[in-house]
Amino acid sequence: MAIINHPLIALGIGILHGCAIGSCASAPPQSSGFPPVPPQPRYCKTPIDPIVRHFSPPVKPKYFFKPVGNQNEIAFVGEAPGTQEDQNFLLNTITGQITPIPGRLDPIGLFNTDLLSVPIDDDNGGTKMSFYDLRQLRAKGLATPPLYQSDESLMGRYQSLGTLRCVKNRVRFRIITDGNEGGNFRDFEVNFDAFPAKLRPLHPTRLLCSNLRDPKTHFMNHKLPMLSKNGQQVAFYDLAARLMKVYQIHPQTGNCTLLATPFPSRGDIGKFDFSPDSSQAAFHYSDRNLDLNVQTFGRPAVQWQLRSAVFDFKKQAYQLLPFFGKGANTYYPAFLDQQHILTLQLTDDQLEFIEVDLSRLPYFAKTQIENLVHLTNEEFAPFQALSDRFTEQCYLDTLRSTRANRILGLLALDETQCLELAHDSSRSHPELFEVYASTCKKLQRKN
Amino acid sequence: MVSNKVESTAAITFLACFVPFAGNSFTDTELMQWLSQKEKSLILIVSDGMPYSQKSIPIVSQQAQERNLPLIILSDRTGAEQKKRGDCVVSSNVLIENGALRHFPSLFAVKDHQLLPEVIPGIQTPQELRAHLTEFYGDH
Repeated sequence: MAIINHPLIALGIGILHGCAIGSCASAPPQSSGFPPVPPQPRYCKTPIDPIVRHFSPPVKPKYFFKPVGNQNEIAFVGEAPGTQEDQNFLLNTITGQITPIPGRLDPIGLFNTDLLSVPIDDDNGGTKMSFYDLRQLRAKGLATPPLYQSDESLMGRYQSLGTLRCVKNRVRFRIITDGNEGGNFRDFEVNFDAFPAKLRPLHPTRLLCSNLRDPKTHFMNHKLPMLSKNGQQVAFYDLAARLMKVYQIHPQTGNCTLLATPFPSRGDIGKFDFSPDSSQAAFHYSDRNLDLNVQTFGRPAVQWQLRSAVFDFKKQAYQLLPFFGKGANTYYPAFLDQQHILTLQLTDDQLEFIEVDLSRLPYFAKTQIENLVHLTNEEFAPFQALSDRFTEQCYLDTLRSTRANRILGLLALDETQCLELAHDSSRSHPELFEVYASTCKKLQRKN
Repeated sequence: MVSNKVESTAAITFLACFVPFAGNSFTDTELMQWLSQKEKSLILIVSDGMPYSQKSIPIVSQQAQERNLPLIILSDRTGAEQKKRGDCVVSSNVLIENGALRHFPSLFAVKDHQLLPEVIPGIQTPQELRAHLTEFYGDH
């Protein structure tokens, strides 16, 4: 477990109660612990290491986790030491303190507040959606009673929460859950002036996206619901269209309207995590099958990997998250704040969390990536040669082995840098310069 | 812990990993073999890393049994624990390209020896699953 100096340590963890939307203190840039890059050619654009920190949790986590509280904590299901039974945990990623907390599934927080929701098994084989005050959980752990338990109308499964209104320490929020009827929502108000906080429902549970339901079965062929942090949008995987879609939720009726700019990718992508301002979504994807293509991220018949990316709805561009080592899979990237993402990486049987600073990552327009997708093998050969030279000259050993990391770096070059690289790459074969220069132009073509 | 050892019943062939498969990998070869042998069936993809995977197994098994559908359960990766247990790991490009890794559990349905295009990600309640299977196969 990495213990990192951080100004929030001085302030203490647990100072956050209610309304802190948008005020989450972000971690300052820190070294990832890897050796510095030796002197490099000018085309080696720095910084190339967007990883702020990485750490292994003291218990073995499952894949799904969420940042909670002041976002320096994470909640997740892990294997209880000794028993290997599933158990929810709260981990302070700054101090390393880990606390067992109630439940064995999906502890999900309300962004930047001290509220946690957990599905708790009931005596009838079902689950009840239960809400907890993190201030109590930090002190009492498993002995913490819930602030509130919903009745069966709010299915205890696949919940996500968003803040509708925030005035001082009173937060009005929405929770959505998946369930028999394809999704419900309910709004609550939580008052953090009291200790423990007081929580009350504002209305009975309602159907989410009634207008999208099958008129005969009343089921909705949309799965993997995820609410945006402002509670106004919801992302679903549409079974029939085989697409991830984003809808606007009507504030009163809960009806859903497809946004004009839905997520454009056809690829095999997982559950979204929306950025705090809802302008971006983070997700993992199978690199064998995405508009971010096999040529860039792997060859056909080579083992699949799960990678992570962020899509910016306004820019219509991706930021592709880094990873370590061959064979690594990354899961469930989640926003800590507008600029920082935490993701879980699995390499062989080793699990660790990786924090990435998005401001250090280039954007790749969707169209720019599509240009690469359509390169023929012949066209791709000089691209590969440039990539090899670039990697040799510019990359750390730890990053060198991964094809994806190389290509990402190459895409980030401007034309001047790329031409310098082309010149360098063709020293022993000057006749290849024109081919490489032409490849540089293709790389820069964004439309 | 996910176990893909589902007990056999007289009526249904529940399979962990087909015995003839080399290296416990369920590749396109094994998929084609499965599809050619089974007119209708279910393929469930689970993961040790996702707790709902384990909970989904009895729900899917129960309904497979009700409909007399063969069911095969595949794991998401080859870790030390999976190797030790002899899990059958999904390595089929066709399944992966159709969303086998999007979420765990995920369920594929086979009809007329063909994979249906609508892979269902996430755990389903018995009612939800029944509705999906009725949509795929009709009432039984």
